[in-house]
Amino acid sequence: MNIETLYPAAFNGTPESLNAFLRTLLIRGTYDTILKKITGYKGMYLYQQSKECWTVKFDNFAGIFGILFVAFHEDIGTFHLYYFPSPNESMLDKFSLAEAIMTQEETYLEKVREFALHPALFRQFHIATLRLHVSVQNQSLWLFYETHIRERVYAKEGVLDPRSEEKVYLIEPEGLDKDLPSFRLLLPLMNFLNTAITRMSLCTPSYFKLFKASQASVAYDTLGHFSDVKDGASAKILIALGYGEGDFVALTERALMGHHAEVVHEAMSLNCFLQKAPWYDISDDIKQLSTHAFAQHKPKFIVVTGFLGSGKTNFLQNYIEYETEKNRFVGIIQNEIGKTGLDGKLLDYSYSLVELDEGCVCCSLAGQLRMGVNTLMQTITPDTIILETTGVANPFNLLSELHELEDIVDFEAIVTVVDGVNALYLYDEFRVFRDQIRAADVILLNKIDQMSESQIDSVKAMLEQNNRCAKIVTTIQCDIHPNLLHNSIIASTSQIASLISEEEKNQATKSTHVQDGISSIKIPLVSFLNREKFRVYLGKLPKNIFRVKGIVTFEEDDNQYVVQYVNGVFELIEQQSEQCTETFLVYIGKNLEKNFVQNPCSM
Amino acid sequence: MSTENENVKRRDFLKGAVTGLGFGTLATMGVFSYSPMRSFFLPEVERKMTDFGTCKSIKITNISETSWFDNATLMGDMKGAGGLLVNQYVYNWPPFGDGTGLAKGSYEKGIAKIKHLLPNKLEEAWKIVEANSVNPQNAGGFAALIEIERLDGVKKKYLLDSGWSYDWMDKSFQREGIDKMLANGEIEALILSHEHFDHFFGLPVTMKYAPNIKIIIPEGFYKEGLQYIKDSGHKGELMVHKTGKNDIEPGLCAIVFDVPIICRVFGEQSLFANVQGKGLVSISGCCHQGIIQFISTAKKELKYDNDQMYGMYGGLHISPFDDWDPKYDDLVIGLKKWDFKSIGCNHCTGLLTARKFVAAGYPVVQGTARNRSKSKVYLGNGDTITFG
Repeated sequence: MNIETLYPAAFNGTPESLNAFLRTLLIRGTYDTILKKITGYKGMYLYQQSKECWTVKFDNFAGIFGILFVAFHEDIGTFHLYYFPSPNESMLDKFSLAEAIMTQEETYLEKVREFALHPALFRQFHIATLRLHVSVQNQSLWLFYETHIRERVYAKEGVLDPRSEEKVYLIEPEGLDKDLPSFRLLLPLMNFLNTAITRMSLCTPSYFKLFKASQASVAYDTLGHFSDVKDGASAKILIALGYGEGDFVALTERALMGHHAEVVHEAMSLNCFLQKAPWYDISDDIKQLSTHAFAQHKPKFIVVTGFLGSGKTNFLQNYIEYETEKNRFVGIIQNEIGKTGLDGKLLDYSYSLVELDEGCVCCSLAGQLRMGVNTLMQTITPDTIILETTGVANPFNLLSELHELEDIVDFEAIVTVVDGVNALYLYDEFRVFRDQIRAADVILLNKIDQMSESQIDSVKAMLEQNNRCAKIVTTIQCDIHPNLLHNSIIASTSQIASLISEEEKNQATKSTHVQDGISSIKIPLVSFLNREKFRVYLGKLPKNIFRVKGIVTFEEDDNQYVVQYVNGVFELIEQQSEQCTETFLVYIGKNLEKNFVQNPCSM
Repeated sequence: MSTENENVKRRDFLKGAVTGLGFGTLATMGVFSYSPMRSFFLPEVERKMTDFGTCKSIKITNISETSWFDNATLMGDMKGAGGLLVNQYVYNWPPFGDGTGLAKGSYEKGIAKIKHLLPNKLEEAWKIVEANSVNPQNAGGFAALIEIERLDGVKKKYLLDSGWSYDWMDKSFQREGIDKMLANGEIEALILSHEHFDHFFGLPVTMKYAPNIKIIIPEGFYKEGLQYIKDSGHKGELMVHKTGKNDIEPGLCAIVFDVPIICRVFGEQSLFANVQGKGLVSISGCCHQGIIQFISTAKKELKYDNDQMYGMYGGLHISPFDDWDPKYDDLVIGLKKWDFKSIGCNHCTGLLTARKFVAAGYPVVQGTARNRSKSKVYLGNGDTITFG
C-alpha cells in the first residue's frame, strides 16, 4: 500500500503525525459522497483548541461518536473510542445510571463537542480502544480494535430511588447497572475507518485476525468497592487488521499480551459477518469502491411547495448556499406559473436549472418530471434535486408521480413553506394552501419576525391540526440548515405511501389552481417608473391580486430593483447580481383579466 | 422483575434527575461509575504567544477573488470527474488540458503541450490550453497584493497566490499594476497559500514578469505541483514552510495547517500581521482549515498588540467539513466573541454568509462590485482594504 494516498504530508512517526494521520482520514471522509453513502458517515467536528478531540455521527445512531488520542508507546498510538448517547434514545438504558444522568444535563451535547476537556465524559462512555501503527519504511498500516461484546456492571445491593420514602429499587439487588453492547456500537465507526482506508488507498487488508478473550464483569457495593464477577456474556473481542506488507503478527502478539485470547476461526459466524464488510471484499473489482461508482449515485429529491410569496426562493437560496459551502451540488427543477423564470434571476448562485414548460407541474406533469431529472443527471449529477413547484401547485397531485421516480432518486421530503403572516387568511380562502400543509413532511413557518407570539401560536395550532406528522420549524427568511430537513424526515416514504392511498380515495375532490381561478399575467415595462407613484400604485392594488414579482427601473437611478409584493406588503430590493435586459412585472391573482390590471407605465 | 419495568423506572428517574442531582447525590444513592480505563495523561496545549514583531500598517489589494465565473460549471466538472477527492491534475482543466476530455488528463501530458511557451509566450500557450482543456473560459483565479509598512516607514510588498487562468490573471495583474511591480523587483516574494488550481495554476503569469522571485509554499505539495514550479520557468529560491508557525518578516508570519482539502490537495498556509496599536490581522486564501481553527490557532501561537483580533481578509470557509450538528451552523454568530474590528471577505466565503456577517453587525468592509465581482458585500476585484 501507499501511505501517501492516505496521508500526503511527510509522516515522521511522531505522536503528532499519527494523530494527524487519523484526523486526515476523518476529514477526507467528509468530502466523499460515496463513502458516506456506504458507511452512513454523517460528518465530523474537529475540536482543536487547548486539547484535541473529534466527534462524528453515523446514520441510524442517535448519539455522537468520539475519538481521542490518549497514548503513544513504541510507535503505536492508542485512541479511545466513545459513544455519547442522545439524551432520549433507548440505548441510554444500557449505559450506567451515572452516565445516563450526565446526558440529562442541559449543556451535555455542547460538552460532547469538546469532550477532551471533560474527564467526566472521557472516563465514561468508552466503547472501544483502537491501536494504530503506521510504517513509512514498509508502507504498511496496522489497526487493532479492542472491545466487549457486552460491557456489564452490577449493583450488588441494588440502587434505591432517593425520591421515594418507601423502598423502591431503581436497580434490583444483583441487578445490572450497565449492560452496554459495545461491539455493536463500535461497528459503524470501525466499518467507516476500514472502508475509508480501503477506498482511499485502493488496498484491501492483507492481514485480518479476530480474537475472543474471556473477561470478568464488574460489581460494586454500597461503599463503592469494585469486584470481579464471572459472567458468560461479557467477553472481549479483538480485531487486528493489516494493510500492505508489515510485521503484523508481531504487532498483534504484543497487543494481545495479558489477554487469554483465542482465535475466532474464519468459518465462524462472527468472522464471516465481518468478512462481508465493504472494506474486506476483495472478490469485487476494487475499482468499484473507487471514484467511478458515482454512476450509481442516486440524488436526494426534495419537493418544495408553498403558496405564492411564502418564501420558496429564499429557501432555495439558503439551501444552495449551504450545500455549495460543503462542496455539494444542487440541481433544480422549476416551473413558474406564467413561464417567466423570474426566480432564476433572483438567485445569486448559478446552479443547474431545468425549467418545465407549460404552466404548473401538478396539472401537466406526466413524464416531464422524469425527463427533467434525467437531464440534470446527465449534465451535472447533482447531490440533491429540488423540485420547486409553483405557488399554487397542489402537491397531492404529484404524489403518484413521485412514487414512479424512486428508481432514479432518493425521495427525501415534501417541504412546505408557509407565509405565517397571511397563513390564516390563505387557509380560509384556498383549498390548495390547505393541501400544501396536509402533504408536507416538513413545514417551514416563515416570516415569524413579522408575527406576534400569539399569532405564531395560532398559526402553529392550525398547522398541527391539519398535519400531525410533519415537523414544524419556524424560520425567518427561510433560513434553515439543510441537515435539519434531513434529520426530520426519516419516515417520509411510508408517509407518502399512506398519502397516496388517501389520495386515491379522494380522487373526486382533487383541487388544482384552475379550479381556484388563479392565473397570472405578465406585463413588460417599456419605460422608467416614478418611484413614488409606483409605491402608491402598489399600495392600492385590488385584493384579488395577491402576488406581484418583477424587475423595474426608476427615473434617475441606474440600478434595477426587484419588486416583491404579497397581499398588500411590498419591498423594492436593489439588484446586486447581474442586471437583466428586460424589465417586467408578473401579477398573480384570482379571477385576473388582462385589461383589469393597470400598467404602471401608464400612470 | 422484568427489565422493561426497570427501564421505565430509570427513565422516570432520569426525567426527575434533571433538576439538579449531582454526582454527590449519586454516591449517597449507592451508584458508582466504573471506568475501565487506567488514568491517562492528556497534554494541555499552552498558549505559546510567540512574539513575531510588529508592523505599522498593512494594505491588501484584491487583484482577483473570482476563482471561477460559474459555480455550476465547476461543480459539474467535479461531479463528472468522480467527486471531491479526484486529483486536480487529472481533470483536464486548464492549463493542463491534453484534449482527451474530462477526468482523462495528467500533468505530464498537459504540460507537454505548453511547456516550451512558458513563461514568456502566455498568449500563445493559452490558445493551446483553450483548445485542449475542459471549460477554459470558466477559469479565473485568486491573488492579492499585500503591502506591509514597517515601524520605520519602509514598505514591503508580497504577492499572495497567482490565480488560475493565464489570460484573466495577466489582465488582472495589468489592471492593478502588478506586472510592473514584479518586473521592477518591488515584490519580495510570492507566497502560495495552497496547491489548488485557482490559486496556483496561474503561476507562469508571475514568472513571466519575475522568474527570479522567491516562492514560499506550505509543505504538502505533490510532485506534480513541485514540477510545475520548475516548468513555469522559476529560477529563484523555493522555500517550504513546515506545519506550524513560520516567520516572514517583523510583524508578518505564516501558519501552515496540515488540513486535507478537496481535489487531492493537502495543507494551507495563512498569513498573520501584528499591527501596532491595533492587533492581529489574519489573511487567508481559502481558510480550508475553518475559521474557528484559523483564529484559535492564531490565539494559541501568537502574541499581538492589545490581545485583539483586529482584522480579517480573504476567503473564509466557515467550516469546510460536514459537521454533525446542524444547529452549530451559528459559527457566524460565534465569531462575535472575537470582536473583529474590520472584515474584508470574498472568494469562497459565500454571499449568504457575507450577508449574515453584515446582518450580525460585523464590520464588513463593502466593495464596489467591479471587474466581475458578484456583490458589494464582497471586497471585490480591484478593491483595497487597509488595517492600521
